[in-house]
Amino acid sequence: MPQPRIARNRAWFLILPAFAVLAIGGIAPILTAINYSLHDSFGGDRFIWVGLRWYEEMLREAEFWAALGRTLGFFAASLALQIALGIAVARKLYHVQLRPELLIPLLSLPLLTPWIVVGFLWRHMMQPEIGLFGTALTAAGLPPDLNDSATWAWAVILAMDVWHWTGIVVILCYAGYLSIPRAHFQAASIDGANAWQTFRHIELPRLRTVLIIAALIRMADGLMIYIEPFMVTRGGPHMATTFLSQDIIQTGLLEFNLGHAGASSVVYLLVVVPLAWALYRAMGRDR
Amino acid sequence: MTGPRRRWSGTVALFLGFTLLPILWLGVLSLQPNHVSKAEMNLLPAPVTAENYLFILTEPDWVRGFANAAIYVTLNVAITLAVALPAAYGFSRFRFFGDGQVFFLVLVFRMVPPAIVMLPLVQMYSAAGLLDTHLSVALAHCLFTVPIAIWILEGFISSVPRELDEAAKVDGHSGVGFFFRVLLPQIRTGIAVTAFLCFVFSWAEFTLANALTTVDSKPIGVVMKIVASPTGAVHVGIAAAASILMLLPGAVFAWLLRRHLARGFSLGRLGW
Repeated sequence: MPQPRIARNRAWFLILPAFAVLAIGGIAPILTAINYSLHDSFGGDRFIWVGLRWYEEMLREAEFWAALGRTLGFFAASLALQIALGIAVARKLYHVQLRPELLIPLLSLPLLTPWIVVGFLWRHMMQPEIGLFGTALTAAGLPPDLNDSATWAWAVILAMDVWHWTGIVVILCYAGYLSIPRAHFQAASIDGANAWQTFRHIELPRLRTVLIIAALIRMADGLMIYIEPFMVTRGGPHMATTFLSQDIIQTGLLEFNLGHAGASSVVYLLVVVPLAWALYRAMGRDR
Repeated sequence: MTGPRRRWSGTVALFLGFTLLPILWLGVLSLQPNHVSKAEMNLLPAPVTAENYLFILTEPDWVRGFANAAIYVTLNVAITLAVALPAAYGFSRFRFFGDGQVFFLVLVFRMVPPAIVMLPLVQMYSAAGLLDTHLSVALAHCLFTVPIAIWILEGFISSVPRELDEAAKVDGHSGVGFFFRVLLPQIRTGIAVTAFLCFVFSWAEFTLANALTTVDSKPIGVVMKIVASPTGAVHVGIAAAASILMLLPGAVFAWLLRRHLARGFSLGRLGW
């Protein structure tokens, strides 16, 4: 229940300390990245103005578009899997499961796992000779091949991301289910609605806000994914799993091509911010 | 709820298995000798040994790794709460110029990839002499934890009735006195959940922590990378033991806050 808020511009002073911290940590580095993108650098201390040259060069580059496409494709695929699975599990938790509240902390464990551990664990689990899933798959005649097969690399990092993050969708959707008034289910059963009709017309509309929040939160970490797939595939085979974060870190830090890295960063933000804004608006002003 | 008899759901059991099996297996790896882990797949440790844990707990580099992570996470949580509490109160109670846009802008910071701010931050901090200090990582993580904290706390403060503000004023509390003596005790849970979510991010993040530290404040995750390289783990047992130790604090906090996890993970937007 949103309460009426008092109009008072002086409230800006309450926001100021937070803004100062965000400025040091965020605004200054982003401006620096924009500045990089407009200059050519020599050894990181001499800069020459080059205008939009990096952007022109980058936008013509197949590698950049491929990395951006892979990032968006990976995010869309993993989010679709997480939402489908998350709704399915939350639905059973709500309708069927005994003592569901005790399982919630267990389901949140992957969310708490340090990202480097997630990558290490999945790489090791997929070892065909000694890994937990690898040996099972080998026994089934499908030995995982992370070094040469792009299909395997994608399958494994998608499974890893589903393992890592589906819990958040389950928890949010379960909370969404708990907010549905019981009378709605009684009305549906009196009308003789079957399980699918109940889901489609009673449950799904009520999960809308929750799913938007889930998408927004997942977008934050999903699009900037770096160390987890890197630990599993090192971006390979043949860059098949090189995402934008890795591309930026490689051009910036290893090749010390600050202009190029800065320009990719700016284009990335131009893609992400409108997406986030659309989701934020869809959430409605109920905040 | 809907049906009178509750039972174990097959879907839930399968998903729970998929979720927990990898972690349990990580536990197995941590409890058996490395040469066994590198030769065969076991579902139970054979033979059981504490050598991996003992190695980590007696090696100064690893112990310091834990201490370093704990120090910058604590610093981060303290700074985050100090600046986010007043901001959340402002967003919750007042309308002011651009509040809706700024509330969104705050979230945008949470979406900036560490990869983008990493290079400029390294340059800025090395110019300021802050590189390889706990403060540098804590401040860098604020970019992500301050937005989380503002959103969660705003949700909690908004569910405290406005009448409380007025009543406190009538009772003669000043603005500051009201904030500390009336409002903060009301949102204790919210503060705990916020601290937990900030901890989760700062403890789990790797890219920035790795880039901003070299020797003195290197966290456990960065130390672990040496034995867990992508090309094939150098020492599976130690990497697994370190992983389990890194998971423990989060698991304990999650259990203590189990009834409020939804409120936290949804950034304060919902709960049960």
